[in-house]
Amino acid sequence: MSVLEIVSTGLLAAGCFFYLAGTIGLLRFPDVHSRLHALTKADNVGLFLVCLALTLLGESLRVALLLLLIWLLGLLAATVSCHLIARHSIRRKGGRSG
Amino acid sequence: MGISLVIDVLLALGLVGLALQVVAGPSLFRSIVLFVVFGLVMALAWARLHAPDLAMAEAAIGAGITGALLLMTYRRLVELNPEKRGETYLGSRWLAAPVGVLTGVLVGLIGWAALQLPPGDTTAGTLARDALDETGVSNPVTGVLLVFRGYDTLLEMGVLLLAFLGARAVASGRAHSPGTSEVSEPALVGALLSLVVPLTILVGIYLLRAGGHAPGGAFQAGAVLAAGGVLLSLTGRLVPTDHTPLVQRLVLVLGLLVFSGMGLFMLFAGSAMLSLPGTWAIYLVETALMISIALPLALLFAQAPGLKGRGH
Amino acid sequence: MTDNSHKNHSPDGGTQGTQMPRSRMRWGIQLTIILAVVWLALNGLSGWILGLLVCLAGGLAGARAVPAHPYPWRPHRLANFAAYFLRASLAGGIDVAWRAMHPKLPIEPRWIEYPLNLPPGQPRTLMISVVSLLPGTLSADLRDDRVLVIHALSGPGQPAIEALEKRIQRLFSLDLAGNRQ
Repeated sequence: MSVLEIVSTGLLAAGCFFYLAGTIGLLRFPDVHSRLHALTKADNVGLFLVCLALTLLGESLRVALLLLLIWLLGLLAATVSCHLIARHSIRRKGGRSG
Repeated sequence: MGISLVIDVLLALGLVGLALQVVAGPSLFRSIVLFVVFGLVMALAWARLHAPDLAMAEAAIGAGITGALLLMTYRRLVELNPEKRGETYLGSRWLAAPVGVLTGVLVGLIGWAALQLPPGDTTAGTLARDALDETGVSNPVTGVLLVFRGYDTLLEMGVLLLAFLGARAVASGRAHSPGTSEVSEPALVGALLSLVVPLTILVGIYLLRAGGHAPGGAFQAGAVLAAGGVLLSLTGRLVPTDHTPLVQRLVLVLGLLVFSGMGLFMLFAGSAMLSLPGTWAIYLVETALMISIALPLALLFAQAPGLKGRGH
Repeated sequence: MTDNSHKNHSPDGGTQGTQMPRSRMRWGIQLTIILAVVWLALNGLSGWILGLLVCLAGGLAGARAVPAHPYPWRPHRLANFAAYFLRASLAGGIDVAWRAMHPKLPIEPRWIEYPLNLPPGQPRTLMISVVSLLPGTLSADLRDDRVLVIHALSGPGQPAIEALEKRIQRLFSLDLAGNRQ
């Protein structure tokens, strides 16, 4: 395997590790808002690392641009969903829990 | 080879596990959410089987639009019968095991029979692939959908229109806005829309155009546009009307009209029914199909006969 | 996308005209360029007529959908902010991953209410979004259009939020009270 492939594989593994950490946070944290922390932040970093790994493997500007777009859109979706869920949890359910 | 096998086995196990959870889960809401996840894993499975068109269609329609429709339906059902919230509909439980066994045997038989078939040169798939150049497109899926099996696509459009008419017939009298009824809109929503809606238009039209030579096509494009409509409907930018406006009526039947019109014209012009006279005809029909798929899906989600902008 | 003139004479209260004010048009143009880049990345140069139409249509749709008062930004400060954004995002992810996997679960959930010194529009949107990326903080609600309700999981919280606000103010050329300089 070339150096590029080794680095890509390492980045992919790191990305998967962050997704795993996010899921563990989802399972271990006590309430909705804490879980949102874990999911949003860890998954965003995971997505970034996966996109970075694929950019290295893609070896073309087009692929790099598209992966950048994918990362930004994923970030946007995660951030907005997170805010909406947090807001709903406070307002509708009155859950300003610990 | 080793890693691919592990991934494939994990995907297969995941599909089966999710399916079990969907069917035998404790609550309806949970089953719906897991069904959406199932659709996404299925999209991955299609990708592993080297079928990117199917993967995209599954992700957009199966997981995306169907998920939105199911959740909307669930919310409506809970509004109508609040006491039944959290219930799961269980038919006759004692039928589950026999039906499951029979289905498993049937699927196993079909799979075994399929594996017995000799991979010959005269299967329909091979013939279609060889004749692909005559269709004017280089994406075999589009070639099959629009040229070789045009009747299927035509009738699918009919089915979609019928589904919309059926939903209208059942829901008559209730213009129900699925948008938020809150006074103030959450922050970030406006910014999201101003970015996502234009991108949806761009991606939809790109998928339509790319369908000729790459994975894509009218169904995927229509589903993406419908998702944009769902988003606008959810955020209150599009509100239901009381009756279907004329333009929207036209759009609902446009796919059927253009496709069958072109097909009949070709019949009178001397060639076979539903043969398309060139690549331009394929793109024309696909464009009509795309908007005729997007509008009824968005209207089904909004549970409305028509949609209009918020300020009008 | 170079736009250094903020000679926008619209009052701070917001534009209410039904014709397209300059700020919306500016966002429309920026969006058209962004869409053009995306279309080129997807399609290359073939089919550019269709691409042009699509990008214009998209720019128009986006200009109509954007909430009022889009604010101009300074592009050269954008690169600086983008680097900070990336660092903050990575720090946030690493921090929460470490806390999630740690056997003792070192989290102290608490709420912070922070009155914003940013005008409505892109600065506020950016603030709300990036707060969720910083280590330990998550924006949960915007009360009375002014106060940002933040859920903090750990760490200092308030100083980091203030630092972020300052950075955004620099990005949009605003002073400390959130008014245009």
